[in-house]
Amino acid sequence: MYWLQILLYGVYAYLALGLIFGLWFVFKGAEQIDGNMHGASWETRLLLLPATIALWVILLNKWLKQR
Amino acid sequence: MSVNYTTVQWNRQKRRYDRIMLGIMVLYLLTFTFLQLVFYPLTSPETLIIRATGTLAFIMLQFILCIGPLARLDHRFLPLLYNRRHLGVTTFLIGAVHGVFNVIQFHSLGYVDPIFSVFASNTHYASLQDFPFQVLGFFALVILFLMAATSHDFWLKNLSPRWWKSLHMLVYLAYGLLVFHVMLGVVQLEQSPMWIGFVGFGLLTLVSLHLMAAGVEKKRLLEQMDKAAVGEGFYQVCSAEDIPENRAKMVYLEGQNIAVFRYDGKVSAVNNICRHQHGPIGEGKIVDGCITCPWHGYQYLPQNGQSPPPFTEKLETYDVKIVDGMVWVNPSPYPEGTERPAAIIQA
Repeated sequence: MYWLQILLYGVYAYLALGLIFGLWFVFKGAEQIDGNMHGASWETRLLLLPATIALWVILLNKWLKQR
Repeated sequence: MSVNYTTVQWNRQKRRYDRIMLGIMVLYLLTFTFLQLVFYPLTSPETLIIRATGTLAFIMLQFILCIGPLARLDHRFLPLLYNRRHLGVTTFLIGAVHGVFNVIQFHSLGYVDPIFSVFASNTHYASLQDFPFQVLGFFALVILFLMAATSHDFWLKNLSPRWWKSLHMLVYLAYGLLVFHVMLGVVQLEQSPMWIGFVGFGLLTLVSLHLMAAGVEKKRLLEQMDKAAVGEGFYQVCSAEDIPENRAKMVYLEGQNIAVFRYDGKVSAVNNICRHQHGPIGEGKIVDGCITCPWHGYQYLPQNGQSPPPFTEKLETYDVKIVDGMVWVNPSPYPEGTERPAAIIQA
C-alpha cells in the first residue's frame, strides 16, 4: 500500500494548493471571470471556497484564458 | 436569477420548505434514537450518531431521487422539486457527520493517517463478502460533497450547464455506491436482514418510479407524433382548449423541445428548457404574466422568452398560429429572446 500513501500525499498537496488559490480566487479572482461576483458578500464568497479548493485547476485555467 | 450573486435567494416558499425539512429530520432522529435505546440499550453515543445520521442521509438521498419521476407522474409533487437543492446540501452534511464520526471512531486512534486507514485497514478487495464497504461510502461522500459544493449558481455558469449537469448526474453513481455500502456493511456487521429489506424496497421503488415516468413520457411523445399534421412548416399539436389557462402543452418537434403556453386568450411557444438548470419550463405555469420554471422559479415572458429586467436569461421562441381552434407550431427556432406575436384564440 506504499503507492496509496504516495497518492494520498499527492491529493493533500493538490488540496493545499487549492486552499491557497481558493482564498485569493474567491476574494479577488472570481470577479475577473464572472461579473456577477461584483458586490458579493463575504459569506457568498466563502460559500464558493470548498468547491474552489476541489476544482481549482479548472478555475485557474479559465482565469488564465480570460486575462 | 442572475444579477449579482447572493448566498441564498431566500423567499417565503424556500423558508417553509426548509422548516418542514428540518422538522421531519429532527423527528426522524428523535424516533431513531428512542427505538435504538429501547431495543439496543447498550449502544454507545458514537455508534448511535453513526447509525442515525447514516440511515437519515440514505433515506434523504432515496427521497431526492424519487422527486423527479414523482413530479413527472403527478404535478402535485412539483413543489418538492422547488428547493431540492437545499435538500441535497443537507443530505451531504448529514452524510458528512456519519463519515467523520466513522473515521474518528474506527480510524483515528492509531499511528496511521486516518484516510489511509479507511483504505488499508481492510484489504479484502478481491472478496465480495468481505469487501471494505467503508471505501464505497467514502467515494459516495466525495460525490455528494462535489454536488453540494457546486450547488451555487456561480458553478452552474462557470462550469457550463452541460458539465454542471454531468457532474450532478453522478448522484446515481453515489446512490449505487451507497446501496452496496449499506448491503455489505449489513452483511458484515449485522445479524438482522431488516436493513437489506429496507434498501431493497427503496431500490425497487426508485427503479419502478423512473421506469413509470419514462413510460409516461414515451406514451406522450408517441401520441403527439400520431396526431401531428404538417403544413407550411407548421405542426398541428392540439386544440387550444386542450391547454389549461396559464399552463403549457409540451411538444417535441424536429429535435426541438417546445412549451406552448396559453394565457390571456393567447398562445405563445418558447423552448422548453430552462436556462438555469435545464428544468422543464412547460411543467411550470404563468405567474404574474411570466412563465415560471417549476424547479427554481426562473421567469420568462411568453411572447419573447426574455427574463424580466434586470435579469438576463433568454429562451428561443417559435411561431404559433391557430386555425379552426387548433394550435399549430413551427419548430424552426428564433434566436433567444426574439419577440414573436402570440396567436389569438377566437372566442
